[in-house]
Amino acid sequence: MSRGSGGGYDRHITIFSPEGRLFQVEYAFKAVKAAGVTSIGVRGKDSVCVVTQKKVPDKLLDPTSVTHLFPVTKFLGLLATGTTADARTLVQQARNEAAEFRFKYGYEMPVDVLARWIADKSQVYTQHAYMRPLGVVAMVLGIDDENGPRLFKCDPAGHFFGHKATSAGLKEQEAINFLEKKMKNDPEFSYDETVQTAISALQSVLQEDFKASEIEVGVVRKENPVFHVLSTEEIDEHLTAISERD
Amino acid sequence: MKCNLLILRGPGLLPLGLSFPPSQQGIAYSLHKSSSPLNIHSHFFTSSSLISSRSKVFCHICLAVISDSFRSCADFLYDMGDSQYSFSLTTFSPSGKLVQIEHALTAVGSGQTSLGIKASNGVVIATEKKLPSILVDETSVQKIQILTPNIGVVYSGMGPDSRVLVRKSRKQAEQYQLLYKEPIPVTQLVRETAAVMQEFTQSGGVRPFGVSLLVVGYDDKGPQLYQVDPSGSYFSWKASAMGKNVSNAKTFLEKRYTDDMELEDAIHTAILTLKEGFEGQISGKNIEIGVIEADRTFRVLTAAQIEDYLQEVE
Repeated sequence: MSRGSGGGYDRHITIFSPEGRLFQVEYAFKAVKAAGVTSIGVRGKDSVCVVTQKKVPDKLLDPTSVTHLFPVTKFLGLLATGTTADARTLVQQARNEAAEFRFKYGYEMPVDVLARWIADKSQVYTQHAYMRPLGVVAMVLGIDDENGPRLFKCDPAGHFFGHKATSAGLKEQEAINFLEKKMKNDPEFSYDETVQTAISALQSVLQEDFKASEIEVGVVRKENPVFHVLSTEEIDEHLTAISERD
Repeated sequence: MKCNLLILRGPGLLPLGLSFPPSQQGIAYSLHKSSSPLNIHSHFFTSSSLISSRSKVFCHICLAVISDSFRSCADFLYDMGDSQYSFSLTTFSPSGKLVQIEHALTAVGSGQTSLGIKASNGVVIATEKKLPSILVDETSVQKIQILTPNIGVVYSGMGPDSRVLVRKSRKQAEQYQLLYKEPIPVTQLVRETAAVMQEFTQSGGVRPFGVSLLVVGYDDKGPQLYQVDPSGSYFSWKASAMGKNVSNAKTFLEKRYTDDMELEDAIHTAILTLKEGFEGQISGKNIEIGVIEADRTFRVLTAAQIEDYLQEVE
């Protein structure tokens, strides 16, 4: 009779459990949900939009410092859902990597290369015992020279996929169900439709109407491939458009 | 303040330079001695509370310097044994089994089905491509990968682990080419990949890979098909399957396989085998097929080509 689960360490470090699972990786996913925030990303015909909740737990906090949306380069954005500390580490490393890439190869790091790099780093944490997986799901967005607007999601297990639309965080599954219905027939959203689909998905899943200060929105557009975080006025325009539409 | 510089390997970082006044060498020594990985961090922090404020500052500076200079993940792969975990996590059970490898095989067995068939004039590999949601862009995912122009690979099990192996294999193939000025034979590449997988079952602080690979190629010895397991053992197969539906698939293959099969028959058989255990409607978008023939160029079939074969099979 075999000794069993490696002395009970399979829950503490990333070694296999008897069923062939990695508990630490699964717990990392739970940590992403525990942050209590839901994020949504939608890819349109010539733009990508990501939306996330902005929860400022204390009135004394400076709200401009509470953010999950980070520019990695001028052209690449990263939305990190999960534990803030892990998110900041990831962003710092990603920024370093993207800058080195630009220096070494002479052209901007493409979206999928960054996503692959993040995913490969996460995989290392799932295989080496001395580092735990990060409790962050990263959504990377940008405009690819050859393939147009691109949205990738990287998770603590080291998986990464390109998405037409996706979600992460507390209400991930409900949001994905909502988005599957919307994207069923492969619609090609314009910029405004993309942003409004993302925001209305978040509103419907969390069942509340947002004020502009309660959400963060980041976009990249083909006409202007710079990663841009929308200001409160721009968010307000979209919120008004949504409420008038309904 | 007289200091002794003690170089310790911090978890996954560059060496931590910690300076302790001689009177507190004892604490540093106990840090080094403690082997339980779970207690390392708590030891570090309790000892720092006993250090004088000046050496605390030094510690903070060291840590700041280190955390600013993260290495790329490629470096992580080279210092496997050099961590606090300089003991193997895969150890023998009293009955003589390596349970971590068995669990890795279980992980492979719960992965998506993939199979390979060797024909007289080529080899074919195929796999299910079930994506977690219709929102996933299937063009961004390719499970069948090219290692060299005449060698391809497919996996069953944990996708992220397979990426590591693909990257390493490609590098090894290139190094062989550079050294010997000829393309690497399939057996050599399989042997080197298997050696990597074996390393991770014995080195300190790492777990085995949760993937089995089917490596196919066409070289001077003709068409070849190898299966490599998480333990690092590999065999040449006439036809093989791995993943969820493995027992049904293998039974089906045993019935259908003939030694003088041609590649076209093999592709049809591969599709039929996948169809056996397939949940839902099979189409060019949710399976992948890779082939290599006498032209010695490995190629992945497009969705349209797969649809044509599916029509033929009907």
